[in-house]
Amino acid sequence: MKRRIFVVVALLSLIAAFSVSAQESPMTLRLASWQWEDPAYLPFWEGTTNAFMEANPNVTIERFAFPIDQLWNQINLQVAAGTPPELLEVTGFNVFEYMNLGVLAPLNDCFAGTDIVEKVDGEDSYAVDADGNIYALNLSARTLALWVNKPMFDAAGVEVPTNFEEFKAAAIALTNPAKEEFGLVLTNTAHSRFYESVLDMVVGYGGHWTKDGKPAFTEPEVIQGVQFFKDLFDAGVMPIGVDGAPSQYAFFNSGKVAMTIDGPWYWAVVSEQNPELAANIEIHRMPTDSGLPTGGPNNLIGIAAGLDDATFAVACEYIKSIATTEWGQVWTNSSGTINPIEGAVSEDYLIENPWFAFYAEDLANYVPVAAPGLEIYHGSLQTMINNKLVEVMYDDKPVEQAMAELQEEVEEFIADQM
Amino acid sequence: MTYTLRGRMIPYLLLAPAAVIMVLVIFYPMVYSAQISFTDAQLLRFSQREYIGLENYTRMLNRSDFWTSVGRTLTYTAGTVVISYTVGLFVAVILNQNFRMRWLVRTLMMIPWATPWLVVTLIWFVMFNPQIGPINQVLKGLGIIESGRTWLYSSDTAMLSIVITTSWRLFPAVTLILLASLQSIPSELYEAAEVDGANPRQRFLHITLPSIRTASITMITLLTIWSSKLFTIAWTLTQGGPGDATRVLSVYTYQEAFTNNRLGRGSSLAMLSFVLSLALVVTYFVLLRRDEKRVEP
Repeated sequence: MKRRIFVVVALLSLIAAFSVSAQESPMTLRLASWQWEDPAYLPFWEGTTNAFMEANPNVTIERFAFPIDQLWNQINLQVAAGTPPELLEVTGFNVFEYMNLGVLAPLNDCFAGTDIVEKVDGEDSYAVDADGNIYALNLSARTLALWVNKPMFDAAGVEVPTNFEEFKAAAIALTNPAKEEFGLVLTNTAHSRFYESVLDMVVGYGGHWTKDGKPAFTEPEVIQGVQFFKDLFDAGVMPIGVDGAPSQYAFFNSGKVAMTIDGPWYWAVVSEQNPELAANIEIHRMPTDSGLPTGGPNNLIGIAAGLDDATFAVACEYIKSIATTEWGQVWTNSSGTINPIEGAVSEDYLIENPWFAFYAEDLANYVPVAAPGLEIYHGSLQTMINNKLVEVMYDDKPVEQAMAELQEEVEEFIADQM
Repeated sequence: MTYTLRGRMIPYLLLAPAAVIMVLVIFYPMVYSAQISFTDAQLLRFSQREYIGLENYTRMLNRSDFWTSVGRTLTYTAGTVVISYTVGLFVAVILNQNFRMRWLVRTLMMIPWATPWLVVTLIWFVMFNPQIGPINQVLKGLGIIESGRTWLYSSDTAMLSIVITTSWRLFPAVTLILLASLQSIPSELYEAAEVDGANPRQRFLHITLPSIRTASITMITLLTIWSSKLFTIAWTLTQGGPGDATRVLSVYTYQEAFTNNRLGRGSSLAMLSFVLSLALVVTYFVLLRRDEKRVEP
């Protein structure tokens, strides 16, 4: 009897020991992000991963770090090879393509029994498929606003514009080629910022690239929006060949440009590069007829599809561990962008950064950047739209003709995907 | 094994490592790519690919985009070959003369050839900048243009811009090869021609050019092959734009495979580009062989 009890106890001990060792067997997760080298986001990524590894000594979270223009190729190749990074930070634009192509795993099981969906703004509506599957945790949301170099306005006796007519008049009045001063700076070569800058105008007329989920490039609102941008471009109120954020920042930071349109993250840039200018900047609502900003969720994190249960479980634990007000505040405070979890924008932060309240309040009004209904094609669509817009700006192709061609091209592209 | 047999095998044994490496890094990927081109492979759903026969090829060959891209490739290639060869020959002829500090000029002329492609694009990106680019500054200074030209953003000038950039990088290779060829021409030929009353133009047309014929065929063929498959310049300077003004085949292939996620179609484009390159290589060998026969006594 004693021997039998001994054998049973020994077996149970062995099973228990084995299961403990299985739970604690070393595991490495790779977290893909373009923000690993960005000081604005490092406190969040380093803080959350270090805290998680401290709480789970058997888990190592490795950096899968590439600049954003290289990251997607790297991830795509890893996905094609069947070895994707386990944790994927994605943008508010490519999340749809990744959802659609089965790169991301649904997080419903992961979020079950938590209040994450209730606490995080937009969690139950963004990056969610028709069956209600949630594919990513929202990490930030943003809108754009008008940044004004107030001394230039004061010197010229011009009021801050509030609609299209005033916007154009102000941009022209504040442009002085002799002094190399411009009324406005916006990206105007094939770049995601160009796409969004022109979309801002289209949204200002109450339109979007799609209507009821279908391409709507020949709609009057789209034609008017593109034509308005073209008129500004031809009036010489903006420098030509501006090819992205650094170039746009450099012009406005020089103090010789009266207006730019940008997000809250720009505050840290201008404060560092031209503190004197930063002290004289004002932030205002979009100077369009509708006044609506483009925006929406900007950064999200998901889990790669096809992982084994144990790996998925650990990746899920990490995601749950970062969905807290405390980490949300770290994100907001260090990056200057809004983490959408409840309480992420603290009273203290708003007292220190009163300009930020504008963005926090305007978030409720955003119009999504990706064309509604065609989000899964955002990358290709953006390329096609930018190419056509460049032809309008630089080759003087008539707007109506260009938009008709674009309509045809996009319809053909969509048909080709079926 | 007899000594003779062993002796016969030695060359094959020595070639074997190189052959194995070539099979692994060139032939295997090529065959694999050809295999993918017969499937509907998508990059992000690679494991779910299915065999679809020649559908990718028929689809691409029936698309106007493809033929536009072939046209752009031919324009880009022809432009690059003409400018690189002409400038390279001109510089080679100058460097073949005796003048002080010739060694220094020869060294400086090689700098573009030694510059990495990516650095070349950065240099020319600044050169073409509408606001601060030296090209616009010079043209404005000379009164040729009034305001900054948008070299890379206008359909009229984008192709010319990438051709100039590519030619700047490639012409020193032409200079190098042609200079070596020029130096092998016996000076007695020029002396005899001069005695016979030939002027410099006649000496150039009837002695210099025929003497560097083989080197010229080699360089023109190499320039054609290099530029017809070049990706870096067109992608980093213009990304194939504006519109499709600089969408050469290599850029079109990349966009299909990696931007539009259609790896199968991208592979079929890569195969069609390969056929084009192969045709050029065959042409090269035919021309070279014909030239050798012409020279043979």
